[in-house]
Amino acid sequence: MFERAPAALVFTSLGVISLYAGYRRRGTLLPYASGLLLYVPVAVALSAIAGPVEGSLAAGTGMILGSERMSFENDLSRILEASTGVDSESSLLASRLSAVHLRRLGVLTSLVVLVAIASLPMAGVAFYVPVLVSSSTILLLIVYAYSRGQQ
Amino acid sequence: MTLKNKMVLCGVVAATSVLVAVVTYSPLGLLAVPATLLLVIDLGVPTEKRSVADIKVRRSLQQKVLVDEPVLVELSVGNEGGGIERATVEDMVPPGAQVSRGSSSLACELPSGAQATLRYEVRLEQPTEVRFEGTVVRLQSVFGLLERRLVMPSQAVVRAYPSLLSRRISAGRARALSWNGSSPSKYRGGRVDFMDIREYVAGDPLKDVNWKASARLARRLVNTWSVERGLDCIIVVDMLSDIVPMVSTWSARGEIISCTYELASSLIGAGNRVGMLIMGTTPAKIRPGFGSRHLRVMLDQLVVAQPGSAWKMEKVDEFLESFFRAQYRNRGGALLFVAPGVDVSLVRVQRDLSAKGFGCGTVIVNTLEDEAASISSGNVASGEKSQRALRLARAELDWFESELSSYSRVTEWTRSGGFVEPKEAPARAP
Repeated sequence: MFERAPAALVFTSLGVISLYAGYRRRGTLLPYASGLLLYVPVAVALSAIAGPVEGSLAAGTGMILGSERMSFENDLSRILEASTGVDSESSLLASRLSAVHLRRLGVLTSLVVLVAIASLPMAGVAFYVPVLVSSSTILLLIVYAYSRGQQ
Repeated sequence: MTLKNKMVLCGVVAATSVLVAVVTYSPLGLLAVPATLLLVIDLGVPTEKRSVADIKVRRSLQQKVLVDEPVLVELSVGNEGGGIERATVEDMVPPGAQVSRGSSSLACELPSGAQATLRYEVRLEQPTEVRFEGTVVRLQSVFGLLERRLVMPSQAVVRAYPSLLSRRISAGRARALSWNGSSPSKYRGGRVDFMDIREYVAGDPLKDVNWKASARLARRLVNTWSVERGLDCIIVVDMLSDIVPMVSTWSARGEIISCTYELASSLIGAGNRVGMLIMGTTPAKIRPGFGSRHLRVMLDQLVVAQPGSAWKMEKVDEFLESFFRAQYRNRGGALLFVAPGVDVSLVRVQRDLSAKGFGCGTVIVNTLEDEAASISSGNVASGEKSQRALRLARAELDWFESELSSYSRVTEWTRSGGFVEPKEAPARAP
């Protein structure tokens, strides 16, 4: 699937560079760019261990979770960044927000697992799993967008 | 890049992954699953309408402070509407105020009815007036894909006053500096030094009778006193932007204000009538008056004065003619110029005013040391160059003082040393 090692090396290097740049510049988008670049090599590596579908799903979930968390942390540290110290109430409020964010990421992980489990029986019937799972999630998105438009 | 771009990025990732999955039958397209779920979770439950937030921002701070005194800024952000998952509060710190403690931003969750308080300290390094205009509040979803930016008004004005140094010019010292007037002072009661004893004449106040001497010599005698002479003066502040020394963020404006304040305070404290004229952006004209309340009026004008080039020193004569005319005709006053540096036009102005009969005095605000320090700290020039420039500037200032000394009594002021005794004017060629 991804047999050219130099290409993987380029993707990984670019991913690590953008990760570092995101950390230095407190960027919110650079962690996402890094996640996208690292996704393919990580997915290929995990596919070799756990199978193509499970490996890709685990890599995608990990990359999305990691990117979102780092993006959040960068945003938070940019807001609270002060060489002169931060008020203790500000730190407390920020840590509460951080906990809410972590909980929401937990919800995201649970939903991914649920979608993957739900798609397994149907995948055996007719479709190849990635197409089925991807199509079902995009269908979910369309239903969601439609219902928001109705409000 | 704003957080709206984050939503676009997530959408593009999800759509591309679906495309990859459908077209190539590759498991790499499974990235669409977490990406799409991220979008769905963050945009909210579709059947529930997102509640509308009602944000209230209230600011509290001390409005009158001293220079370099920490000012605690408290910004309370309350939500009286629906709950907000993630709110970012960024206070707009006005230029001139330096955050000395804490951060001017805050990130928090704001449920309905909750309130969050942002606290930080600022310092004002110069006497000035700063205006806090508003606060930026960003209302976001937890993952930051949805964002609404509000600019909430939370106005407040802070004035930083120069701290008055403990040293003051005593009445005797003021005389030594020739800042002694000719008009009888109304403020001090009119007598200071005992002069002589003379025979009583009808109408002499009873309090002046020298009872002991009268009893000893068996005739009625009264004491005579020298009359206190108050100084009627106008302090003319040269705040021209071309003259006020500035290096990077440092400016001599603060020292000009401190010097003028110290001068005015000393003169008023010694019972003189003091007025003020500030030349620069907007001319401030304050008629001569007595007392601490009058001093506060002058200080308020000084604090808001900014260097400018609209009103030059050549206009001083015009202002005196139009604004202070009657005052000067009736009482005869002195002009005390506060100059922050070499201003050649001041020599011409003083020559013309001296010719018209005004008594002139000049206080030169010597900021050379501070200027050299800010040049060194800002790496504007090397230490050697800075020292050479300092010597040149000192020579230029000496020349300026000698030029001015033909028409006025010159005094130098430094922040550390205060007013320095005037030098003897060098003999000038006829």
